[in-house]
Amino acid sequence: VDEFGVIRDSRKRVLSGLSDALDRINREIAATTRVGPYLERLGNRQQDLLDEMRDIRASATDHVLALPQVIAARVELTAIGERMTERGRELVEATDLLGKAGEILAVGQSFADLLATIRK
Amino acid sequence: MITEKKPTPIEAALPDPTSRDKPQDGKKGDDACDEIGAPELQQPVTPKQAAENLTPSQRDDLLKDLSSYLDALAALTRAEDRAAFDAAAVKVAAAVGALTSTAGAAAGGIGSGVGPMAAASTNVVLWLVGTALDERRYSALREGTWRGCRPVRVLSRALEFVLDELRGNRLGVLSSTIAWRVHALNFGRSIRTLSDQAYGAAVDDVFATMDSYELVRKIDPAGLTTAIADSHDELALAVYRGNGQSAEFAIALDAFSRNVSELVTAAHDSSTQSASK
Repeated sequence: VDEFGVIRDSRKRVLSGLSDALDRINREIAATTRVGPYLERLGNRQQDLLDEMRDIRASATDHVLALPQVIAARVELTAIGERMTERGRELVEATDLLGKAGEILAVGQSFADLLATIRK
Repeated sequence: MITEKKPTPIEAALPDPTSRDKPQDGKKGDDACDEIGAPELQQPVTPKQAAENLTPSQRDDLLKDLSSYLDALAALTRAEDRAAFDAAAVKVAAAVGALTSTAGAAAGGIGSGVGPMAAASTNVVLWLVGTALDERRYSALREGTWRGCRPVRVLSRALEFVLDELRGNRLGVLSSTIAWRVHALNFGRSIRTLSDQAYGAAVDDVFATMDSYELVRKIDPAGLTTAIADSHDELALAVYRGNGQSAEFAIALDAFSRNVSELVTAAHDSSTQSASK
């Protein structure tokens, strides 16, 4: 069983119906030229749908992150990276060369910083 | 009255991601890991054991793991002539940066964040050109990419879900924002409170939000993360087959680096193409 595929298919099925409902609500909001209780109800329903879809996506990602093979891959890759970095330190001739390497390829840190900023 | 242009549905219009779930042919996929005899993943025996080895899974941790590995690959290489490398890198990075900025502007601002990424990627190639890796470094690189083959493939699939979550959430916000902006436009017009100038500005806002929606919608999480896995396979194969001095190795490392950069750019676009109600 391909767990990634199962989770993806389940997510897609559930989100499809909600996405259609959100589309209809959005059209109604756009077409409504008056303010009042009806528009307010539409807004509430829209927010409920957005929240529900967000929860479903988060739940799917949480399931994937908790898969044993994903945990194993993270453990292994972290260990490999640590080993290689240590080996690189042993082999490098000039200490600032490592800094240059980090500067050139430090895209990971920039991504992490970006997400940290967004979540604030 | 302005009617809302129908946006392409959030959950549609991208290539079928299930194609990556099927057995793959040729040297891609697990075949590449098989060819180099990469070890199977040893799964933690118990959740407790996993917890002891890993901090709780956060979305940003996943790409950080991948990028730390990329940094470690870089740390194992070296430039023989630092001064010459730095001088050449500055010149080419500036040229590439100008080129990609121009391309981004021509595309209506799309890709504005690509310039620095492309420059960094170019630096990798420059860094390696003329660099002969000694036997010890090459041996360490070979072991690292050999061990990393299957973990990178698994994590790239998990990253697809992380990026898809970011993308989907952002599309939801943007589609709703379009609806409220069209409503505000029509409402203001119906009660005659909008000047022609304000009306024109509001219409521009609606179309700008639609452009943001389209930019995020076109991001293909499965395509981007498959490219990362495939390019790492190419890197592992190049290291396995080569001797550390081949152009194939430099190209493979550059491609892997570039694909990670593209994923970062996509995540950035998914997170920041915002508008408010």
